Amino acid sequence: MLRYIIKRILLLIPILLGVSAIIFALKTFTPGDPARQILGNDATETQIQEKRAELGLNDPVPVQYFRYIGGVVQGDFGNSYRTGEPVLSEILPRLAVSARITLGAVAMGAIIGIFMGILSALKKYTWVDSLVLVISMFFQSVPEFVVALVLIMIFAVNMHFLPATGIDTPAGYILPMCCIGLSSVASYTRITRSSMLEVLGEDYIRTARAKGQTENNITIHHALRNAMIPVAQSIGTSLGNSIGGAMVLETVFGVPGVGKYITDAITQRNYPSVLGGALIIAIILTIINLLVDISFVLIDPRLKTTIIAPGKDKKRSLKKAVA
Amino acid sequence: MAKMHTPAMEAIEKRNAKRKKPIKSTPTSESWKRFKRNPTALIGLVVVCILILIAIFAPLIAPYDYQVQNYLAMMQKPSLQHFFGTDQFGRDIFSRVIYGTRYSLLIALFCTLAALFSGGLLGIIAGYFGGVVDTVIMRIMDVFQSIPMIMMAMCIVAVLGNGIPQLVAAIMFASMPTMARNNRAAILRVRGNDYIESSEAIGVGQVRMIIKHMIPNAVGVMIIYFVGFLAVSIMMMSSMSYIGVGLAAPTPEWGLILNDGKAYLTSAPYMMLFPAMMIMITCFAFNLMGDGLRDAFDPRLK
Repeated sequence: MLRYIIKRILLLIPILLGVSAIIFALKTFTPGDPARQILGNDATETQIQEKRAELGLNDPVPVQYFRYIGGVVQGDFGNSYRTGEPVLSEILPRLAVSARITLGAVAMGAIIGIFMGILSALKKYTWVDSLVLVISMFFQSVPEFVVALVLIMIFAVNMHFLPATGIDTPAGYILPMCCIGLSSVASYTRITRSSMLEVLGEDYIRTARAKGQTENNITIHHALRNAMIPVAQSIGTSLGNSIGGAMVLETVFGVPGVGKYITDAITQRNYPSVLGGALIIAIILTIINLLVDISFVLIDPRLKTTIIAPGKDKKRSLKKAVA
Repeated sequence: MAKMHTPAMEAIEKRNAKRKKPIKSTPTSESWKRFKRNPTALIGLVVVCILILIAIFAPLIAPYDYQVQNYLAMMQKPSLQHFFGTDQFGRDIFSRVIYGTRYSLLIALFCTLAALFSGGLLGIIAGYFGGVVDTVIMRIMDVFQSIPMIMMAMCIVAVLGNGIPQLVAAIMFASMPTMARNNRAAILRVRGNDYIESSEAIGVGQVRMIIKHMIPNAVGVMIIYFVGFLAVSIMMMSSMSYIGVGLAAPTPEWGLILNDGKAYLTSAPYMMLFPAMMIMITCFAFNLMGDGLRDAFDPRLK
């Protein structure tokens, strides 16, 4: 188990190198001079040259890249072009805000989605089933910011019930969470539904029925627990999507989270902040996926051999089991 | 073995004899039959057709020019003169939304085609050749995929600037990993079939193999991704335009129209309501249709 975890964490290294290389390449292609951007238009040529030397912009790009990587290894993600503050210390407090929103949203999406999935599996091929699928698909297919605008119009502008922007009060978290959460309901519903349908056709369910178990007991204890494995895996993907969704929604709601930080940094071409943000998001996503894989083993000990020491055939059977 | 003659068989033969044409059953016609039986998919298809008609005939439907500013009619509420009201420059929102259909659908089409060609090609190459080629391509795609799609697209627009070709390039790059992965999976499924093996045995060349034997057999799955991605690119495009990284004013794209109305959310919510509805309807319709196509082409995926 420990070896597996270490191996997975080591796999993070090439991914992070790749991510930083992509954004470094984008930075290099960006027109305009960061030094001029920092100093403003009325800076003299010598001032700009000094600043360029200070930022190390005169060095060849590979040298800049490896210097940056060297810094990252020591926990130095560079300084923001805009404020001059270290990127890491700017991001960390925002991370807490984003984490609250994203986790709340994923929890909300998962609870609603799993509930709706069970409902539609139990009532398969009835109007309840179709209705549930259509509703969940609606929220998946509509861009989150449009849902956000409509919810703002209803709850903030017309009913004055919730704040339209900001997170000065805890109530400010509700709308952003709803918007991100609703968009992921559909995938949970679908996965829960198909996985439940599959499990409900298993022999042990028939056996449980034959023993005279109540339907509720069968649904909750026998079917649901076994049907949760693919659902748990999709939480990882859904967290990734939610982080992407949070980038837009934090801007819409004016929430000071990582998403808004990166969006602002992108529009201001503040590349150290973009780079730092992207790397931190990539690290978080990888760790989440690792945790999800470990949680599999906790949910279903049978998977221990397939996840941790997968041979070729075993891997295929896991994929089959998950799909 | 002699021909069977059961009463049931005879009944079927009689029925077939009555038909003038023999029943042809191809995979495509079977798919279409399944698609027709799916009411939500048909609703999606009809709405998409209406949207395409709106896009084609936009100049005939829109009562005003989408960028003419009329300072005598600013910020008017919806009325008979201006169905959806006017914005802060006196532009008719109805006309802008109608032209927006044209822009949004066309840009989404370009994005999807670009993504399909670039990502699809990579996926097909990875899936067909396998081995080292596959590993290298897919590991690079893994790296791309660990940056959230919309962030990648926004970074690229920030580099290239706002505009239609830039946006298409951005969405293309951002969606490449997903497209490559999907197309690779589609090719891998075809690859295992016996007819591929027999074509290989009679010495069919690689290019011919991909173009003549693999793509036509994987095309159903690719159509599903194509339609699904149209909705995704409309979503991404409008989200990005809304936060100001995407298209440049005065392009009448729905996200941009919403961005224009942002400041008047409390005083004139109608400015945002109609474009928002349009985005909702379009994305939903494309998804309904895409879902129906998925069930029709590939019942196993359900």
